Amino acid sequence: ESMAGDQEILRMTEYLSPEGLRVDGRRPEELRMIRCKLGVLPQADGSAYYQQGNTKILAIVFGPREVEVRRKAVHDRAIIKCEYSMATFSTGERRRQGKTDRRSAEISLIIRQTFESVIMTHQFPRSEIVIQIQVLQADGGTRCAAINAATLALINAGVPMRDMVCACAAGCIDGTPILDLNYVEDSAGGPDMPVAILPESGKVVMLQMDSKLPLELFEKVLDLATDGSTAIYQVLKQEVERYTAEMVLARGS
Amino acid sequence: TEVGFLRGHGSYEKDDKLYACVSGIVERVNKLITVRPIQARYTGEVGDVVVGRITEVSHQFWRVDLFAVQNAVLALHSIDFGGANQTVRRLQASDEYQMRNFFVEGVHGKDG
Repeated sequence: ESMAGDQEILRMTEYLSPEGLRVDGRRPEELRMIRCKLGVLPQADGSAYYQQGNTKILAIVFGPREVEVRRKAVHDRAIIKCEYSMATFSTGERRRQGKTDRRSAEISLIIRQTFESVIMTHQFPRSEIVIQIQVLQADGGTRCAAINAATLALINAGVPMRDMVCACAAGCIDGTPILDLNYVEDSAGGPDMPVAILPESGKVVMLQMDSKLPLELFEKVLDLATDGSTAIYQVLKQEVERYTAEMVLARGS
Repeated sequence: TEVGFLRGHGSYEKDDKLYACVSGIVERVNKLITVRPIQARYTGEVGDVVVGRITEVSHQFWRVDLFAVQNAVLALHSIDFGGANQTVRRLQASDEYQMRNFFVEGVHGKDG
């Protein structure tokens, strides 16, 4: 009954309308619109801008280059450093400045581990590859968008990889698997499962889940997330091919 | 791939197939397949003339940044002390102390 400071709590049923539409009008298996661009920052070795719905990510790659802290160099491969940070203006309420909040540290680690299994680090002993992710606007699915952006930036930098890494998150509302949750749906408290795959082989390189899911639903949600990642792969691949063709033409080779 | 294709830079082999690991131009020289990325750090070739910036002065060598994968090393031994008025001579301890007179951090140098 009090208006001031009262949060409007949507009942679970309102996340999925009787016609099967979600809060933003999408169908349960629909991805948000994706826009991406390689080579947005010429001063970095590689860079990419990736946008999925209202989630906007900037990824920057440096390297392979000499390790800044020499004693950390590994004699037979490149080390990978990853820093994920969210801009103070990226969320609804202004975030406190400061890089090391737990969630960002966790996501940095996840992204690093994901790419450690894909980048051919043994080609660059005693060097480092630095991946920096900057979230410009967060509207759900940020870690997956970050991985997609990082893939593009690494390709832009010419870093050899076994395959591209494509990620997408899926969840569940009222027993219905939902693809690519936005912030509102994510806050609903249902399960959220970000998945990253290597599209050519279909192998899963990253899988996380919060909240609980019964086993039958788990498989459905995992399949949905994997399908979403594969669909994103088509978008990324198209952009990489388009960019490469454009660059080759520009250089006249 | 067919039998006999050689894997060059920018590609890797798996299950008898050759895959590209970078995005770029495919080059074929007889049976050697290379993929050259459109943008990557400098990888040296023998005979290149390079320009670099000194990042560090160490015992008997300088470290040079060439914007490559690793920093390059310029040895004191590789400097020719002969000149118009000097005879070529052996390296002495005093030359090490003089290293900063040749190149100091931040200086650009050219080397073949």
